[in-house]
Amino acid sequence: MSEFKDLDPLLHSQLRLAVISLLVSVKEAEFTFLKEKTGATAGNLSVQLQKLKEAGYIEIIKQFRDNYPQTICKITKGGVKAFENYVRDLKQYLRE
Amino acid sequence: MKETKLTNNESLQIIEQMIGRAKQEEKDSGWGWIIWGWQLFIASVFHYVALLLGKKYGSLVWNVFAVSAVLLLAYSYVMKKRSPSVQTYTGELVNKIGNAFFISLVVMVVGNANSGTNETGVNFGYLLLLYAFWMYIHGAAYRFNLLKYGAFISWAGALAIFIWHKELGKHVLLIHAVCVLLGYIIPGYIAEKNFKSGKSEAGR
Repeated sequence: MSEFKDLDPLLHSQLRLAVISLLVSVKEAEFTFLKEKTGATAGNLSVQLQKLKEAGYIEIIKQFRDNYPQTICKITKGGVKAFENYVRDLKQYLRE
Repeated sequence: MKETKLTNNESLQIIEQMIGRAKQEEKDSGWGWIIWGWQLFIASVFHYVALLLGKKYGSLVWNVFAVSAVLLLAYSYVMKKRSPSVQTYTGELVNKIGNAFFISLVVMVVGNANSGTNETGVNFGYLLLLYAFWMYIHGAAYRFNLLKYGAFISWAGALAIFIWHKELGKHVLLIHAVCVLLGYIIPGYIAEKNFKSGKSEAGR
């Protein structure tokens, strides 16, 4: 009998999953890039990024470039692992 | 996009869609090949026609090319800064190799134009070698085979120039122009077409 693991609740949400899927494919991305690709509002995206950061899935770097504030997001090793586990568990559900 | 709970199929769709959009950043827009290609092509043909007409100022077109190359580099740098930034692993490496290529190209073009020697034939062989090196790396990194074929065309052109530059004389400029047309310009337009169709697919 196959054992089903619960899907990671932090990733099992539309916007957070979209952000992690984007970040797992690139080295780093600016906040504006994530906003453009996900089509999310800035406020909602900020809240979800903060949740991912608190879980240790992403790193957020705030810096200045040419006197403008810039927010850079990077996936962490923990984030990559969580994403891989999520995809593995998802595959298991979809096979059934 | 809202923060909502998902079905398993929706999860899979989001993952596929977002990875597809991120992969779009690893595609070549073709813009650079078209712009650089036409510049090189026009400079070659201009120089060739000037030599046919017996004018000595033909080689000066390469100085104009170098200035416009620097201006274009500056313009693309500003445009990159303005657009939302994302750094892919492939993009980071290819950009660094690209910078080294463009600096080498400008130094070689200005050096050739101002060397005072008439051995332009061999110099165009070296230029083609430099293009081939860049095209092969770029084509391999972005999985764009036409650029790799373009590299082989440039290597063949370079070899022909090295072997027969004395017999070819001013016609080396035509070989250079044809290699640029086949290796840069045509793949550039195809890359641009693929990029635009890929962008509309990724956006769905």
